[in-house]
Amino acid sequence: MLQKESFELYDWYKSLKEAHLVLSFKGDFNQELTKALLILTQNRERIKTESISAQTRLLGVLVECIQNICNHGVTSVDNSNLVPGIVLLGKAAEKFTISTGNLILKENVSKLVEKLTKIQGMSLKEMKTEQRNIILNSELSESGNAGIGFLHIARKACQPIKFEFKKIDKQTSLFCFEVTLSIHD
Amino acid sequence: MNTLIIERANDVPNIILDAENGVFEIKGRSFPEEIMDIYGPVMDWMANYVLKPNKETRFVFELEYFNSSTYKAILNLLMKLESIHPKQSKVQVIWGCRDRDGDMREAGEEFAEMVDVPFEYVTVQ
Repeated sequence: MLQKESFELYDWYKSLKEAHLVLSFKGDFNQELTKALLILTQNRERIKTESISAQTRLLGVLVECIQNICNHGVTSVDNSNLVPGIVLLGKAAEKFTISTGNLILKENVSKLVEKLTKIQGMSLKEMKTEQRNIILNSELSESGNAGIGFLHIARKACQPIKFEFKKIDKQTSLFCFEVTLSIHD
Repeated sequence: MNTLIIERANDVPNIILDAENGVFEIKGRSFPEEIMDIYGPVMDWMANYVLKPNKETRFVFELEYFNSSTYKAILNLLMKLESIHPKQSKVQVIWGCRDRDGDMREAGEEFAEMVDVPFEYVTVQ
């Protein structure tokens, strides 16, 4: 029998349902989990019933968001390939909303703020030009995303990307990121 | 030259680069953990191929979705094809999309804007 002061599963279940979540995961991310989450997502009825175009858009952005956690999040232990994080996928009002959270070193916050603020202020045309310029002037690196990950995401969005940082301790902050995609072609 | 075959996985497309039989194709999903593990050998193969390409090179892409590293890798590959077209090899890119997949069609059109090789768009299953 659950203790009264223990975690209230039903309240959590209710809040997830009210948020219209299709997928939620909090834990340690790596490529194997990424693959599993993508397969899980594309097989969900609420995703399969959407147009092929919407599915392509969603899965392409979702994989980018999750791999951002894997590539840029702070690992829980040195030399580990496991990155703690959270991903939520909601569907409501004819839109998909992907929210992610991962730890980031405090020293990297300002650079990321600058980058994302710049993207928030760009038109679609400007984002396309910027992506092209970066790609044509960069090398493909062993890990990471060729430097265009957030642009790749933002270009598919139906409204500006959102982000915020919450201080966790002296060294780390939680990077919270959100992107909204239309379900329409 | 040797044929390069990379077998399909959940995060890696099926890749066949077979100059002898004129089969050049990349089909599936592409979001490998380490992009160079997959596209490094592809680019090495292409670097060799362009030294003595076939008279015609028909390169087929049929992608479901891909990450931004793959986007860069595809562009690199297309630029290699551009380097031999048309004098050394008559190149044709076949960009396959599922029916009504406007997003993937748009991706193909974007690549077509960036390289000077002919693109043909086809509907696939």
